[in-house]
Amino acid sequence: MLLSTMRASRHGVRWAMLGVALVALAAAQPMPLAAQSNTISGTVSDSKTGRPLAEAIVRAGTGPTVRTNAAGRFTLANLSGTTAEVSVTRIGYQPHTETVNVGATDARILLTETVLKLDEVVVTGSAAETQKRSLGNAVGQLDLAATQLVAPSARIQEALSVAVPGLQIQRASGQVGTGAATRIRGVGSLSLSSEPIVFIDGVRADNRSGSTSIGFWGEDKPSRINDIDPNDIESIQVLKGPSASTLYGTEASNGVIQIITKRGAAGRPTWTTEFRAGANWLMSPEKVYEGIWYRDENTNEVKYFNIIENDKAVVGRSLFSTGTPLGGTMSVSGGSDAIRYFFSGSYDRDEGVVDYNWQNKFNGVSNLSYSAGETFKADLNIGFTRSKTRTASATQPVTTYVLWACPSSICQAGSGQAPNEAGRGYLDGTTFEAFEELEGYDELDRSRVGLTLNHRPISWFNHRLVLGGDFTANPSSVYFPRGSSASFGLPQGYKAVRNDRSSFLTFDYSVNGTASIGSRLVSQTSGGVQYYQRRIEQFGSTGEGFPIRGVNTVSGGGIRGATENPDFNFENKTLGVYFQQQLSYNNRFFITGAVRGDDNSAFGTNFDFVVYPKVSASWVISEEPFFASSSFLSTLKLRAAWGKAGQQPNVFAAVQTYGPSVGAGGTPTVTPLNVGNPDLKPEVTREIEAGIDASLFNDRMSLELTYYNKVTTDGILQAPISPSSGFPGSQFINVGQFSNKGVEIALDGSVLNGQDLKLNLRGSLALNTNKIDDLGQDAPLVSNAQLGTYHVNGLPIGGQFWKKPVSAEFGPVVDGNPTVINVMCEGGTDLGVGDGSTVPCATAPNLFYGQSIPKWLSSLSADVSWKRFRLVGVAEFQGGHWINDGNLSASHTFFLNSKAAVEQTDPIMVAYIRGPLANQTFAPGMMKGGFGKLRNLSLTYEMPNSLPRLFGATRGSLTLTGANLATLWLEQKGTYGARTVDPEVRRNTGNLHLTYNQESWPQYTRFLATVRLSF
Amino acid sequence: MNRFIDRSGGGTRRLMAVLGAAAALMGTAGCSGILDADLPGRIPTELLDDPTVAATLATSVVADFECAYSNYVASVGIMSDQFLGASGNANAKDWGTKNIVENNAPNATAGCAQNFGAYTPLQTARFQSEDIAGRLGAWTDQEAGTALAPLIARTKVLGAYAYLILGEGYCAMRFDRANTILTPAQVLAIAETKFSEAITAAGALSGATGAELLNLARVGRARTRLNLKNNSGAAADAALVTAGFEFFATRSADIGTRNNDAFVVLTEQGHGSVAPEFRNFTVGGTADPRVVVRFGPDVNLSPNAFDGVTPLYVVTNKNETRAAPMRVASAIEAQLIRAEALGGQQAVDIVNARRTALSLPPYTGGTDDAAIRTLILDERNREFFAEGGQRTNDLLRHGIQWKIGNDQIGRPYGPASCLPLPIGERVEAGG
Repeated sequence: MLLSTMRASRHGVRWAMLGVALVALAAAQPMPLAAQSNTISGTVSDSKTGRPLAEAIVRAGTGPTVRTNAAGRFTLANLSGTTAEVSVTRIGYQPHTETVNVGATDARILLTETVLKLDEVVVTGSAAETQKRSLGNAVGQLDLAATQLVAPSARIQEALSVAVPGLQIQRASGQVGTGAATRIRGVGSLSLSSEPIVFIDGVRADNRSGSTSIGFWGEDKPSRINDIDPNDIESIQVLKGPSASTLYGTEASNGVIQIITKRGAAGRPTWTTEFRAGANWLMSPEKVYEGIWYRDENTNEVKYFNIIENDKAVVGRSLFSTGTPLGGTMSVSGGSDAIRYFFSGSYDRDEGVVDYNWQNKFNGVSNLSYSAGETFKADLNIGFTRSKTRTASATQPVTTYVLWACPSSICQAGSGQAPNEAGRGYLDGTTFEAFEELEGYDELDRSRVGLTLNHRPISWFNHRLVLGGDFTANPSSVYFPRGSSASFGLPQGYKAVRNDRSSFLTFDYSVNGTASIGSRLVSQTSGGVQYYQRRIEQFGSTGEGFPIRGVNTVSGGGIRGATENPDFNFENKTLGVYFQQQLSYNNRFFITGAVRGDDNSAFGTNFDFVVYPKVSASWVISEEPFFASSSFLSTLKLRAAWGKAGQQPNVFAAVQTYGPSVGAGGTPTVTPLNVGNPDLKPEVTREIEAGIDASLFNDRMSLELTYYNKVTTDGILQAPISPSSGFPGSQFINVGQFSNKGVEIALDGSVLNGQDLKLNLRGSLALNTNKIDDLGQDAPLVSNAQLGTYHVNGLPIGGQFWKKPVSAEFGPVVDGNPTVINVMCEGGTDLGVGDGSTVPCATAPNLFYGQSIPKWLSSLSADVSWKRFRLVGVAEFQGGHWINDGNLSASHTFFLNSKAAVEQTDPIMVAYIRGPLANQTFAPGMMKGGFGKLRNLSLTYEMPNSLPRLFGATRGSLTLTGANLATLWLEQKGTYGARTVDPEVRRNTGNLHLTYNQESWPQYTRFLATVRLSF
Repeated sequence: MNRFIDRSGGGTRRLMAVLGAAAALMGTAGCSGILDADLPGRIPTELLDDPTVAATLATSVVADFECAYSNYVASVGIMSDQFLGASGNANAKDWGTKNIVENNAPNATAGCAQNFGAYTPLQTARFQSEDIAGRLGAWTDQEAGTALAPLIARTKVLGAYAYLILGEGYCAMRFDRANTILTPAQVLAIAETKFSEAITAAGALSGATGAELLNLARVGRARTRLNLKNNSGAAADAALVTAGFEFFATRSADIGTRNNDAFVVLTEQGHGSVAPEFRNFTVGGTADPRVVVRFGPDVNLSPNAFDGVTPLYVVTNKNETRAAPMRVASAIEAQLIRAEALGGQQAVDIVNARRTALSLPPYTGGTDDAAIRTLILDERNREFFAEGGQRTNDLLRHGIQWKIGNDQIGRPYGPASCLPLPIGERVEAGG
């Protein structure tokens, strides 16, 4: 497997070299002559971004049409007269006509985007070219190539976070190199991944969030979708649920993200360069980590201690530093009508908010297209990513030692080190300097290749073949030098290495036939077969106990071990076929029906294949003759869709297995590993959605409104297996039914559209509620008992349950400690809802707090352009959910370093510490998790042509970007007077929202200056 | 690498038949093995139905029991009064302060790779012994290519020990996902039956293996009977144990699941520290060699335990390395069982015989029940110090409360005495 991955990497290099050769050939081709006196030459650009528009169709009067090249350039020849009426059309833009002088060599024609792009082609899984007007479902779209010009994001997930209503990016950590979880329309599964599947140029890609890299301790993990450079992407399309993703079958119930990389356009080579530089820092760290409380050992006085302020006073600096990200991209595109190319390479150095957290990353893309007229087209897409990250968490990070600081010898838990002593009040006296010598590394060697062949032998028939693979090698390591005080129980030194390899292979063949039935009815028939293979491998080794400081190899350890975790050594295969029939009437009314059948290597032996049907309808009613078009309602499309998709269980879930283990003297033994479930079948999600797409006020505003109801049956639950079975771990079982319902609204409007001043506002709101409809049994199912999460009929998935204290009184002081009496809690049904009564807490039920994912997501963005300046601001809000801040719980009841825990003047707090609530471990950290943040504020200056010409360039721009500049709103700041570090920090796995700030890093603030030049 | 997932007879063919045209187009018709998948590192249950792996299966029972025993000794050791909980780690602290409630995750699910929590490993060991004894019993020596009787006897006796510990240490118990929740006495009754079966199996053997297993089973049944207050039965079994007998769970340093967990958590990582009252055991002013306790820096360890506050005191005459074997049963234990069961002067004689062997002054106190109880508890505490389950069992069966109030840094002790049945078992059983 290693060999094959390496081979793929080398192949990538060879293809890249071939690409360079083709560029040279293309560049050597004779180019059109310079404009002559009976010609008009110029550029077609986007009116907002100034971005040159390729593939725009330009004509003078009724003359022949020409297409703009990658630089937006066109030349109209053989003109007569002194002026010509030049008309320009392009999908997604309003048609434009203006008078241009014949002989002009630099005509600048600006096109304005249509707010509702019904004729835009979207990816649906079939070989047919599908226009948005024919879809019965909503499709999220992000024109990333345009967005990056005015509000650049460093990672794809950052760009996605506010772009698509209903899509939530759950940012787990701000550490450089880590990623987020992606959720579309709520909770996709009880226990399986809720990540949407990802395709890059039609090829299945590694979509894992929370990779198994050992370089990142705990739950701070990379997300593979972020490996790709956003600057290499043309657009992203999001199919949100089963009603849209049926054709993708098993694995698609969480939605589908289609990433389309940039392609070349005919014309001379267009070179684009971009340079980026800036700063990353944590704003007001002494407020983010607000400090701890303790009793002075001499005076018994309650005191406050802030370790960051103390460090500044004692050693002149804090653990936080300012990172300086730096990067650049160079690309070239162009070609002829037959061969087009796009090559890009980029390098980025990113640095986190501690000086040992950084990432070096190279990205490359080589996209080649070959067209033989209208009958045949081949696209070869090759990309690679190489990166090396030094993590901020080779072990439990320094944040742990900050949060549990203790400047006294009488802290309730944790060591005492006076502020001015060597330990400076850090937990165990382990100061931040000790963490600088720990090494956690994560490396990535990822290559992807895809070949797409489109053939249209006859006008009514076309077929498509996609072959490709995505290959990742992800070596990672941690190293603790001998004698390190931060090595978490391994003072003799420790080295661990792990190699995680994955391959995703795609075979996708589709056919499509189109036939006209009479003058108004068109039939489109599609079918296809797909085969996907996913293989994951992981092995590692450890060495512990080095003879002397400086030894840093596994083999240098006195105790060595090797591991191949069976959970990360498996393969999974899916074979599916589909058939789809669409009828359209007058290109205004569309009805589509489809069915897909899948078999998967992970289905239980007692289960057959699965069938997913779909049906949808779309009606562009505003194009009907009877529809009175008005200035208020310019365009209206009605749509509805119903469909099913599924998700297969983990590949080994169905089989009862034992695992190899070791007995006395190293003898090989076996031990129960997985109880298995031969009846296991995929969970199937059916979804109905209905909505409208409309343009309002003379096409100045668009409205997208969608209601959806997703119902998942045979939901797969990873239920903790009762150890009394003899098997450890968990068992995947099909349980009853759960549902997600919601509404998505997006409004996008041009508020001002003057010659110089333009203002665009966009707002979105996505509502989601989920609940367990039927577990198939009355008794609740344990999700995570220690975190108080259970699946209960009629309540949200993974609901959070704890006793709810109402009142308490102080009792006598015993051994110097306050006690409590009459501790009362709300009554009700255990693992149900409260009824308002009060009962003694000792016998009180555990009651429902709330759902763990947001009930609502919202974004607001403003886009102001004035002459050559453009200002874009994006804010994100979410709320309606409860989070469990594990650190607040520990602060109150374990480390006892919150003010409430030290003073113990609140009897309820005392009840948590030593009263009848003492076993409610995580309850004092329950809080409402809503927040609002200013995600992006970018100012772009489009340079006048004279300025880039100084560098030999034709265009230039400068963008200043600030990310995560401010927290605008917190639904709840903390609990019992202690403030959460960041409600957004979360464990990046599963559907639970447990915040462990000690193990993670908050989102940092970024400033970036970007200069772009085109040649 | 085996192919474990074979779907050639499943839906693939039918799916292909239904959509034959598309499949034929792609030449995939007849690709009946196209969805076969590899699962390296996993052994399907069917492969255990092979008589030639009989010895491996029996060794597996030993390995699972040894792992479970190590986890149990470490967990209840730090929970007992012998050690102060002295950790800054929340999980370890919960064990050290007896805050083990029914939703405690390590208590319920921790495996051999973890240090605290033994419920799952003990259930696995119990299941393995019964399942594999059943497999072994279905084969002949000729099929297996080895003598099966010793393997069966060893499997049975270790399984009986798993039942014994589950009956001693847990407040309630459940087996095989049944809807019935058992009391400790019911579990111990099962253990007694299992030990009887083991005694029969071991008694049929000859040679050293047979003698070792027979002694082990007799100590186990004597301990079980003592728990069940069948003193005469306990004394009878104990009397038959050969002098000098000792049986250890092997441990090694090479892999985490084989480590001596008591050393790892109590010494190496310092999550606990020997309680002050047990740091200087003497008998009549003579240092008791059965419990040797040292201050951390005296043995190249930190002066403070994991929490950085509590002085670290460690036991150095047992659990002294990751590879130190852990005693499961011994003739000394048998004699102390006899002493407790017989009481009076017979108990004193047994104790004094042991003290003489250790060059310690003899016991000269009273022989009434209370005095003998105190004597035996004290002797057992010394003999089995840091052997976890023995001390916890003594506290439980004599109804002695321990770790009440706040710990040495003011943290309140929790309510646990016996370990709770995990909440998942209770809920699933409908209880």
